[in-house]
Amino acid sequence: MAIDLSKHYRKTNDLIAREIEGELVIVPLKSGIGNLDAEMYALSATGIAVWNLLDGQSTLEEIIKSLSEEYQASNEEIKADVIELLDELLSKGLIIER
Amino acid sequence: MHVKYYKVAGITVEVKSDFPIGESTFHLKFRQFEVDAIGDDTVHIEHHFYIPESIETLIAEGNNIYSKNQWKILKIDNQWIYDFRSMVQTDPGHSAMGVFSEDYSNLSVFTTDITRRKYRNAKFHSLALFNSDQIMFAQLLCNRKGAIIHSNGFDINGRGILLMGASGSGKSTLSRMLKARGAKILCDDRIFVKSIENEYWIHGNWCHGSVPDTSSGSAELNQIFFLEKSTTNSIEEIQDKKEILHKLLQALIHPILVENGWEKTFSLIEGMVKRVKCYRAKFDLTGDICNAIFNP
Repeated sequence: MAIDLSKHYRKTNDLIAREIEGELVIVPLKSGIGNLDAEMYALSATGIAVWNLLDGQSTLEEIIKSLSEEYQASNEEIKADVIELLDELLSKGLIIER
Repeated sequence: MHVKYYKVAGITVEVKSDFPIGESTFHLKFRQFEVDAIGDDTVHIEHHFYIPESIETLIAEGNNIYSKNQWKILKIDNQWIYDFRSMVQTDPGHSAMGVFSEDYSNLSVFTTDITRRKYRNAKFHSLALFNSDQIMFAQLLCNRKGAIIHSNGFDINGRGILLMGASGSGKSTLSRMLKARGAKILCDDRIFVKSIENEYWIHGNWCHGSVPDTSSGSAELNQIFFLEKSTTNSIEEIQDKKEILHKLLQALIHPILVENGWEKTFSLIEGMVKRVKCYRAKFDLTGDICNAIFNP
């Protein structure tokens, strides 16, 4: 699925996440239930920084700008990482367009 | 009704049946788990040899939760319906329908696929008449600060150890070497873990892998070894908690869990990551690694 930088994305409500040892462990649920083959995902610190901003309030462009300021990295560098992560989160159904 | 009792990881399973339960109704491996009566923590299984009409209603009205391979699982009100269709036609039970209570402490199993005579000598591998009791115990353990971990477990002079690793990492090879040197196996491939006041206990059980190599023993979990086949032998403590977290999550056998169940499971894993010493064990086929495991 193509990522549109002008769009707003947010986490789905049907998941459970818990931070353990600095990693955010996420399990997708279906109607509040995690299945036998439900896969777990773990995000590291940078992934968590992106995850926390996926609240549907800011466009991806705005999120990238904010992260590049925070981490003092170039927009392009941050953009590549964010798009890669968003691709994965979208394909796993963990985030949706607002 | 006819009754037998089995105990594992502090949980007594009362099995009641419409048919007489023979010495060979359940596989020989169950003998070491047999007890005389119910315990403080008892769950109940009933075997019935008919399909009640009410089940058809439950299936028609239930919310389809899972449908894959031999399983169809539905939820209706405070009951879980497990429709098991065996893919192995030589299985004595073939197919069975299970109706679990919300907390899995009561199970009624219905099947028409077996006669009274066959039941007596069926050598079932599962008290629930499914292909394994793993699906039931994963739920029961979750409600008791526990979980099932994909690993081989041993009791070595009172120390509980777990061997973990992906397929081909050498769990079976190292298990054979440890057994040859007197280590007591708790279970091959599946270990029940329970947390008791920040201690972790590992329990032998009958939900083994391909080999019914199991015992009814328990031990306090002392060390976890993540295995790597090598041409040398070495044991190195893993300091990176994130690495331990990832490895434990990979080895977790989780049931169908509602949100609250996941919270409990995460708490167990988090505690294990913090408190259990974990090692990377590289080993060759000389068996020299066993000395280091026996004498830490």
